[in-house]
Amino acid sequence: MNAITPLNPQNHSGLKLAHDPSFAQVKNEHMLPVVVHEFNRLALDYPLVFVKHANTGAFQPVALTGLAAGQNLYYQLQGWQADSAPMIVRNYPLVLIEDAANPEQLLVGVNEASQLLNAEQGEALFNADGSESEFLFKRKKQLEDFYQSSQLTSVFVALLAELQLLQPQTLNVTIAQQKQQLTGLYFIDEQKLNALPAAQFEQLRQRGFLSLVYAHLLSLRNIERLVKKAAGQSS
Amino acid sequence: MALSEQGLVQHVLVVGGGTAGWLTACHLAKALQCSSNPAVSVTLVESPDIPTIGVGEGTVPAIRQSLQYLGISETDLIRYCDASFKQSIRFQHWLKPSAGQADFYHHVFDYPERQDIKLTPYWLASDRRQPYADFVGIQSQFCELGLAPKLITQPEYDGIANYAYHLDAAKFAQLLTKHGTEQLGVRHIKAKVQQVSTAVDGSIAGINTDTAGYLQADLYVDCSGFQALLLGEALQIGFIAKNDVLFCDSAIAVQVPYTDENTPLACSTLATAQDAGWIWDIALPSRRGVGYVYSSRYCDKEQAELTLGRYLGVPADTLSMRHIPMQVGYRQRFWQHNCVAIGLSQGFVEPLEATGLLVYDASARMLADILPAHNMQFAAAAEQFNLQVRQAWDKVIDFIKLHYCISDRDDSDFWRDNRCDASIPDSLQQKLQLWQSRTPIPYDFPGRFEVFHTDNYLYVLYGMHFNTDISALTPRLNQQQRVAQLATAQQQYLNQARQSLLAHRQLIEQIKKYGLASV
Repeated sequence: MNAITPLNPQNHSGLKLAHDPSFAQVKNEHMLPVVVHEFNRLALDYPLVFVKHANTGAFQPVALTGLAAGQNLYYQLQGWQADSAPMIVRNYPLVLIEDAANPEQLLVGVNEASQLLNAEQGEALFNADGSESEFLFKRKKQLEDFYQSSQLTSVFVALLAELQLLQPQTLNVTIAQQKQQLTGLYFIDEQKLNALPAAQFEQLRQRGFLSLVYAHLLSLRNIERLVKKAAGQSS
Repeated sequence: MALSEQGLVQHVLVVGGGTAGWLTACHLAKALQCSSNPAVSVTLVESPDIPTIGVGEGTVPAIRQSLQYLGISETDLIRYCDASFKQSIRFQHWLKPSAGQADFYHHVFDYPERQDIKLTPYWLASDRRQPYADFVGIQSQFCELGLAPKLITQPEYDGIANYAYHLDAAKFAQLLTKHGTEQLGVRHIKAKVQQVSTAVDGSIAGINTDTAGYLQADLYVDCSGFQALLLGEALQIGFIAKNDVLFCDSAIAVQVPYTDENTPLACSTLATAQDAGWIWDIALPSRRGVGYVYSSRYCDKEQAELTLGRYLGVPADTLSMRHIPMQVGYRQRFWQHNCVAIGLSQGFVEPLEATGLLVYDASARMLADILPAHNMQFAAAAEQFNLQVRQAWDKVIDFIKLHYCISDRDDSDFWRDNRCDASIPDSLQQKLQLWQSRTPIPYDFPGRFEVFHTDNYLYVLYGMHFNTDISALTPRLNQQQRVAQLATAQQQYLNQARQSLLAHRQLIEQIKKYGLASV
């Protein structure tokens, strides 16, 4: 259930946000959207790949967390199975939403269906006088960073598409003697990258995108990690 | 024998800048790599003030291969040519009304036959209440439900179902102009052709223009439309009329705006039979193009206007209708000496199966592929070109005639006369004879250059309830269970597709907004 409403002291004054170290809200997600500023960090723990957005067809980077729809190999009841976690997961249940009255304006929204929202446990969202708590202030800052990074992420993937560096890829893996296939993924083609004319390669460098490209390529080693995790879970 | 440098093919001049002219110039420039190799130049000369005919707004799926080959982006086609996706032709009222039988059928673009089992005989052995296209596939359902043939996440030119386009022909010519000149290295001259001069050997010597002087080339491509300025007027190559086979020789066309810009967009060309021809109805995102193609022998202009007005539900005198006379048939030769005709100058038949662009595109591609390096080789190339293009036209004419001659409509002389043996080419009569007792098979269409094949014939024949008698085959049809399984699987696939495919107009809008990726 997705019930996102703008956060305000009238409706949400007594509420607290609990912390869930297992990120149970994504326990059935096999890929999580990521933004460019977390590429380097996440590349150590996840394969970072590209998929197409179902509504726009635009490329979007994601961290692979499973090898089949509905499978999240990083989720465990006792806690998330990696040192890093994508910002989108850590922001939950808070998100930035467009102001219905003024689409230029962004508001902090909260997913009211979230189990983390409660009256007893965790950090208060508002102070007794209705002003926002320091906790909320920090979380808001985090949301703004995420939003700005999303904007740059769109620029990054649009350039990859324009330079025709992305190649469709099908993951074929064998887990416990069962062949599995994951389709709809796109990787950067290293050969095409190396064959780029100097001026185009320079575009990547100037905009600071080169390290992202290499973070993606290196992160593909983590596919093996996923296969091992999957094999471990199925045995 | 070594060929002298005198006579090397170094300059090709395309005369005329409609869709056919620009398609030809693009194909030639692509094949000859004009943008990077100066060995051969391709120039197109067009008059800035001759309007293009601009009616042919339907295409067939082969156009996708050509566009992709030429390096044109599908997103650009959707954005700049007012293009929509075409998944079928919905033939309406091509048969006499019959109780319990739909008054339309779809000629869809998905292949009807599977590799593992041929469903057509099972349909023939059934009670035939389910339309043929519905029995063998799901695309007719996509069309009826108004679903787009592809997902926004699929690469350009890729789809869930096979498709072509409806497009604005004038805008398409503009896109080809831009692509040809900017990407492929076509040289563009805007000038009016004033006189074509011929040499003593009967070839074209040059072309006089009003503002660009006297233009000369090693090969001239006549894309000047019905006029056929070069091949017809200058070289006097005669025209073989085919209006004794295909009676439709006139058209009136009108553009119809939408009253609501969110009107669902049809996925099919509607082709509605009338008493002396048929009405096309093509839905582009911004307007409809509608027209009546009729035979002047059976219907005069006033009657034609009334018929079109009745179809549109408005009085005829409120529409601004354009009358277009059509020469039905083709030139005796398409390549003579140093002159090749492509486009209306080459041949034309009524646009029932979007054949115009199809044949022009195929012959432009063929010209680009066989263009000799030296003019000593023109005669041999011309012979091959003339033979194959003529065969292509004859096959096209057979296929168009099929739509009329297997109809049981008897409400006018037009329809009755269409079944007269003398009007049906022998080649078609022989095939129809074969298909009395067996279904069409690929061996019936051996030509490399044939543009309509088994699948096209299957959809039209059995859409029109052609009665192939397969009773002798019945003992061999022992896979009823598998056929039933396939029907169930097909239904499941359709249900899934309904979840993921957008409505046609919605996808067009998404593509305009976000574009499609090339991978």
